Amino acid sequence: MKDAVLIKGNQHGLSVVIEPDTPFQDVKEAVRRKMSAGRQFFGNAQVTLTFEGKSLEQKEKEELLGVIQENSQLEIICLVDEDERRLAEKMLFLKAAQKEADESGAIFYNKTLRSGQELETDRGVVILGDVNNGAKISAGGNVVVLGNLKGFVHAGTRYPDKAFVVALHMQPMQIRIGQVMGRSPDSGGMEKTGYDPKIAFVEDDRIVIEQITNTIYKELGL
Amino acid sequence: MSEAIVITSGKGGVGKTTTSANLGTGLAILGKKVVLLDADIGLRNLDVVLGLENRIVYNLIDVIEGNCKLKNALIKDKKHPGLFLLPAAQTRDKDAISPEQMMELITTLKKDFDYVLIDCPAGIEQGFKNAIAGADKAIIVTTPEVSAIRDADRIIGLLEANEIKDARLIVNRIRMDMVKRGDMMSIEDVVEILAIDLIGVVPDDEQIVISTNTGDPIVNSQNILSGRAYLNICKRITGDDVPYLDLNAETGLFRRLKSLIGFNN
Repeated sequence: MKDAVLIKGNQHGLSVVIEPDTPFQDVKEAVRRKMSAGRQFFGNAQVTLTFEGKSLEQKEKEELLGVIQENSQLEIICLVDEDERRLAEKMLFLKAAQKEADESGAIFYNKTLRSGQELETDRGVVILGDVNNGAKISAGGNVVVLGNLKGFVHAGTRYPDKAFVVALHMQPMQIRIGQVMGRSPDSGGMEKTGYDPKIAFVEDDRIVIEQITNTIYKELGL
Repeated sequence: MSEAIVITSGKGGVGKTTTSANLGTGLAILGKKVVLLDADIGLRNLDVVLGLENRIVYNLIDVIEGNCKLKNALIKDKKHPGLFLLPAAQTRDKDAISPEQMMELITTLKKDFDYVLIDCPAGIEQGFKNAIAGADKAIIVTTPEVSAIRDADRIIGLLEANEIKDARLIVNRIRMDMVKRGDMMSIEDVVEILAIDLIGVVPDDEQIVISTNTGDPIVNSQNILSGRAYLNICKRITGDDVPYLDLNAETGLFRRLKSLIGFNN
């Protein structure tokens, strides 16, 4: 016969995997047995608790929680359901990325900035989306746009030295780095689409836009 | 489950009212119970496009101010028994109502209708705020022109800020001959810039001007390409995934030639 319950560890705590066809009383008994047997093993750690395999009523969850608390020294911080646990794991990845960005002084913005919207920060910024015409970014440090840059961008408001702007598609209406300003050519024509990554930086008090090559960052001493 | 959909664009003159009239009529053709709500107070013309101007007795403001019952202000369409219009007031302005009142009205209408379509005024001021107040979804109308697209982009941002996440795009007045010559933005270009889902494309067609002037929405004429385009959009609104029309098939001159020599496609 299959075990009525399995107790597994996951990243944040314990999962109680319930055999779906087992009557609740048996589940309860199995949990009691396993927890008291593993009392030493589990110790008094702080964990989250997830029930898997079978969806339980709130009352049943509370009963099982009671059984676990009676038969171990674990401190259950919270109950997490399966979907939430997956979400929590995803959040953790995001947080790690965010932390990295924080340490290097940049923030992430993972939406398209549309006309009339403005993003202002003292730090650098990475945009995961487009910056459309009529949108405005001003950043203390560098600006990286993983999408189309068509709006107004001001990089290096705080750290103008060696500030730069990178975009997958560089077609800003106006671009400012520190005190230096540039605007799009008057040639007009229709808006182009498609990616052609470029970098904008200041050289001899003028904005220069160049194709991104694998040596460019080195050449610029960035 | 009934839905309130606002039809908006930001820029004026791109075809919001024409689109509203055709989508309302089209949904009624598909057997839905529809109410068209003209939110363009002071500059009403949805009634004109539908050819119902002569039937107006009460209007939206009368309903909100309690001068009449809701059912007395609703005008039944000439052709389609499932289609009703709640006209705007012409003698007042946008400040005469509040978003809260609008929300209440739409909640009431949703009880009796499958679809509440709200014809939004141009701009982003009070009239726009009123029009989007009770909407669950939005349809953005734009033409393939830079100015219209800029405004549409602004509108999409404002809708997102107001928690209307389901916004879909109609590209209106496309001219495939111009697109081919590179003189007009293509549908793909427009969709790439605005980055929202497309729900339909309507070709530029002088027949629409004629139908607007005569108060008979083009969607009633299923032998005309633009009429079919509108009905397809209606089907997509109801969740039916119909393929896009081949707009290259018959454009401008070719169709005029055909109609000249008596072909009725």
